Amino acid sequence: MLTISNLTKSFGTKVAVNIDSYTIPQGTMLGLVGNNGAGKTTLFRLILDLLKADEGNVCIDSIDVSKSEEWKSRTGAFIDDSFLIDYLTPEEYFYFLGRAYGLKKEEVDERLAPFARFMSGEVLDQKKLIRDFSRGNKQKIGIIGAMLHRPTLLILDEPFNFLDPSSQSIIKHLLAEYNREANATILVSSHNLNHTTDVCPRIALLENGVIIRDIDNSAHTAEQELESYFNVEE
Amino acid sequence: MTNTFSLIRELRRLRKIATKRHPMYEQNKFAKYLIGFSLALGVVYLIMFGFLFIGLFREIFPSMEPYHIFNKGMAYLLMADFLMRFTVTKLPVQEIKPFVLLPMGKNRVLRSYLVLSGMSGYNFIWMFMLVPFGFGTLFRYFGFVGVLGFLVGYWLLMLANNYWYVLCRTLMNQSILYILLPIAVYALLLVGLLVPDTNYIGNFCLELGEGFFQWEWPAFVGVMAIIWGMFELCHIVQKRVVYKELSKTEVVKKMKRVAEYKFLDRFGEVGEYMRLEIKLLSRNKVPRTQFFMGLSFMLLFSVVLAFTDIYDADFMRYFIIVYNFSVLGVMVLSQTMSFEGNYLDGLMSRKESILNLLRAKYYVQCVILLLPLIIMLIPIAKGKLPLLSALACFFLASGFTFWILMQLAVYNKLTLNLNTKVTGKNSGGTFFQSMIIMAGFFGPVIVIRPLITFFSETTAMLIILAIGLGFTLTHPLWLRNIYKRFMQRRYENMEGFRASIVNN
Repeated sequence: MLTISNLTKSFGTKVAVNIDSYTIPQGTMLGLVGNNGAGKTTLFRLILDLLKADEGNVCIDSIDVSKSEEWKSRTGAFIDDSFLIDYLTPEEYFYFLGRAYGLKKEEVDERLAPFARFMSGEVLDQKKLIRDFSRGNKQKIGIIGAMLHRPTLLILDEPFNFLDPSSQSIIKHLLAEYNREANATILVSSHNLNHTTDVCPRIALLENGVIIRDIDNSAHTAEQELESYFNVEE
Repeated sequence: MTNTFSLIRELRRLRKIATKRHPMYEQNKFAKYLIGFSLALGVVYLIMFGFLFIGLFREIFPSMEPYHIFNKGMAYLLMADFLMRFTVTKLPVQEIKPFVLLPMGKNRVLRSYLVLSGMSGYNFIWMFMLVPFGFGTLFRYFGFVGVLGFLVGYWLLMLANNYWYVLCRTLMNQSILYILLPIAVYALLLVGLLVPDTNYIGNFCLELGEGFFQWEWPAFVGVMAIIWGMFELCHIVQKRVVYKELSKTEVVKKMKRVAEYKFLDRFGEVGEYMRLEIKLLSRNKVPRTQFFMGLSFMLLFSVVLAFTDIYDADFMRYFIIVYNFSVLGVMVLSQTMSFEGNYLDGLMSRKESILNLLRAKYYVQCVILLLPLIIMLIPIAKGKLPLLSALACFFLASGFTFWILMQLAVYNKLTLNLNTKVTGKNSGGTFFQSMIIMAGFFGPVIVIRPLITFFSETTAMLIILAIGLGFTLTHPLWLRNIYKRFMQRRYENMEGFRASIVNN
């Protein structure tokens, strides 16, 4: 379970995140939506203890993320390229991550197997460094890296970016399946409303760092509400 | 921008803005004060050297005027200047991308950047030494005009050295093998200077210096021709490199063989990070260049120490030994975390990964230290160096020097680009880091110097050995301490690393 209490973060006079209280029960698949500058990435960084909160805290399974590192072994995340060690090949990167989580090579290979379709033969055995891959394939490597150790909390920032339509569809299914099978909490931010409403039963709408709406999307009814908020209707 | 002059002015303005708006400019006030203090100290030293040389040369060479001696040693000054540029000046870059589609000639932009490099304040730094020396030695014979000629002549030489350095660095950025170019040139110069009797180089420098303060036109025209030649050469090389980089739309580089370093498996998680460290050093242009430069210096000094009698004097010998053991560590460890800044978010989201990373860095450097130790077995076997001294200096480096350098893991918060291109933005290192590098080079000598003055060589080396062993054996403790302090500053550091990531 993830709990956010009295969390604030400002950059100068700009309030990036301001959340009084928010709880995400274990097994929730939450979509985080909002315009540019709404505070989605900042919130993710605060959850991952990559930024210092001005006030308040984030707890993962009752552990304050800024006080202990115990939560890290059961959390996986991919925010941007700064999560990738780009002078490694994808295999080396996966084995490196595997070792960090106590996995043997064989186990890593085994865990990569379900991603074969997602990688579409363009990631493994390429004898190329990550930096030489396309943006889309880097995105795939980052997402797989975040999921490799089967975390109970998975955080992905804009996972559909740079992916081709087939890969977008595959990752949606992979995430939904993973959520169901592992009872993992999955937080996904995206500008793509269709994908977010397709895959997330709960959606938080962020505006100027504040969660202004917490939408139940279990019946896939959120799209209309979101479209009217973002004013994308013709 | 109608003409080249206004373009240069505009580029200079943009550079100033870039410096002022650099993420680290406002953040590190302490570093700014330290830089100011260090600069002031450097200036005081140079002025002091200017006066010191007058008296020193008069005392040692009473039959000659000090300016004769100074001019004769001109090549040494140029060599020192060239080496200094590696630590204090940034990699030459041509930030040409924003101008490519603007209605101005690309050649004009490239040339303007080269002119800007000539206008760098660093080219005037030696004036702090040359002005007091010139007035103290030349003024009474040749008046103000003579001193002015001397200063202008030396400034032109520094300008030529500036373009020579830009040329070498640009080439070295393409392939580390180009390091052989300056090594070959300076080796030839040294041979010319050190071969007794003939000393063609020294005599030529003497004549050239005379030409400066006597305002003889061939001296100035000659140096200006060299500057022009170097400028054109830099332009041709940079143009080729810039176009090569700009036209490269996609890098499709397949590796022939992916090295696995399986032997590191037995060291568990630290072994994994050692593998990462080896790949960091071998697969990225900037750390690889630094590593090989350090290694070249290390091997050069080891060989000099092993096969020549040049450095047989006690102090100089220990300076070389200490330098030899420290040089690579200084070049690599002073950048601790700065290269990792490129993927720090990923590392930080994993438990204790930074502690393992620090351990791995330390062990890799300790293993590399064996290399100079092995080479030093030659002078040890020849009886030129006691085994105790070599071991003492080895442990001084693995303990004391590395302990000092790795403190930077707590304070470094500027991401360094792993593969800076000539067309990229200049992320560079901080001047603060440059100062630490200098401290790393000279710090251990400051420890050794008083010891070998006040004690016998054996006693001094036993004390050094004890200090070194103490720091080396306690490395698990101080590495964890560094890790804890890093974690306390993690937010500030991560913010700095994130803000200074440069994507070429």
